Amino acid sequence: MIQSSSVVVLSGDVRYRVINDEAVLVRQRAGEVLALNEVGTRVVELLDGRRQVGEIVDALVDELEVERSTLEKDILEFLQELADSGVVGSADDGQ
Amino acid sequence: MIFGERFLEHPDLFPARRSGEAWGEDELLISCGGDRYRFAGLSSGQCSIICRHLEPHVRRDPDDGEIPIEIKVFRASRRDFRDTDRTGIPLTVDLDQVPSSVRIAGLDFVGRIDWSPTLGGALWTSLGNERMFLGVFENYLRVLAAYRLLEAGGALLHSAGVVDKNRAFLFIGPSGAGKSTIARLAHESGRVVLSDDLNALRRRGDELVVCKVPFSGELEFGSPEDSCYPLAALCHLRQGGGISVLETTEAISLASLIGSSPFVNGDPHRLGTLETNLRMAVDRCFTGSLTFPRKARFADILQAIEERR
Repeated sequence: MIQSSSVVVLSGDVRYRVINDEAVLVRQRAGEVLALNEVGTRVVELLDGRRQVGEIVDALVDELEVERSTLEKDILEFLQELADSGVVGSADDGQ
Repeated sequence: MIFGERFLEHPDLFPARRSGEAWGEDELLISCGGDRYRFAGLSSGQCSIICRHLEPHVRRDPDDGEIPIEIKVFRASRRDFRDTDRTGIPLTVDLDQVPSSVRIAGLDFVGRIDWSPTLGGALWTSLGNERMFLGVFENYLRVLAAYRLLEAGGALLHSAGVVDKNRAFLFIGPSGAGKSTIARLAHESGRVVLSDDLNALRRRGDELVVCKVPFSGELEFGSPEDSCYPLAALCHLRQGGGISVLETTEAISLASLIGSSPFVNGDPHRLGTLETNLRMAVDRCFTGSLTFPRKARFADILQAIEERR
């Protein structure tokens, strides 16, 4: 379960490329592909293996000009969906 | 899961190089996606099966100047293969990819694709004259063609391919997206349909072209076998209540195309090449999402695409 205190990273087999501010993510071994919009792309760009999810929310709240609580809820849901499909995992799990 | 264990009794005994006992001395030259493939070591029975079912793709002009891709066919023992439940898996294969080769395991066969340095292949099967040999042959050739098309600057794409005014339109989507439906609409309108399932995208000179492959989906259209057509548009299919075409962003287009490139999109050593090839297609031609009802007129669909291009 992804929480504000979680440190989330891209899974080892995910290839990631940004095109015009949007990202294409490929799970290489599965051949599964995702396209992310600009907000999703910014979130993934900030998954540096050091920041907690809450710090990512802090970094984006001014940039996106939205309420912090709304943004935090959206980002937690988004990262949980990515985690459920194997695209990201917890840094503590050695992803 | 260990590579090949679904299909093989002894996955660790996979052939390490292209050698073995040939089934016979027959050869066949097959046209596929703008390339020639020479299969050597076939039995006369295997040859007959291929010729009967893929006749339009069998070339009788071996000296047409093109250098074919060479594939050797060898015997395997039926005991090498597991007695697998065949329900729902005839088209699936296990792949093991390294930079210099790809190993393939499937129902009643194993195969290799090697770059030494040019592309070549080998196929080992236990099936001689059986009708199921055709399935083995096609399953192997699909994978081989997907890798060959990467070299040719393109990709094998899950798509319906339709020709209008000597230009090719590719309609992309997974099973159930409407590929066969739109292919049927195009066919009923008198247009050439290349395939409702798989089509070859490749570079020819400075342009991208779409070529026919000998793998049909639900429908057979009897289109010209050896023609390639300049790519006009790539549309990602959605079925809906009316005809609409929306331009998609590069990232969405690229993601959709990578997801529609079987076999090679799970190969970490060649994903960069696949991205480069497909990025060129996205950069050079119109890409969008197409929504259409099942009973639309194909001419209306084309008009909607043309208005967006």
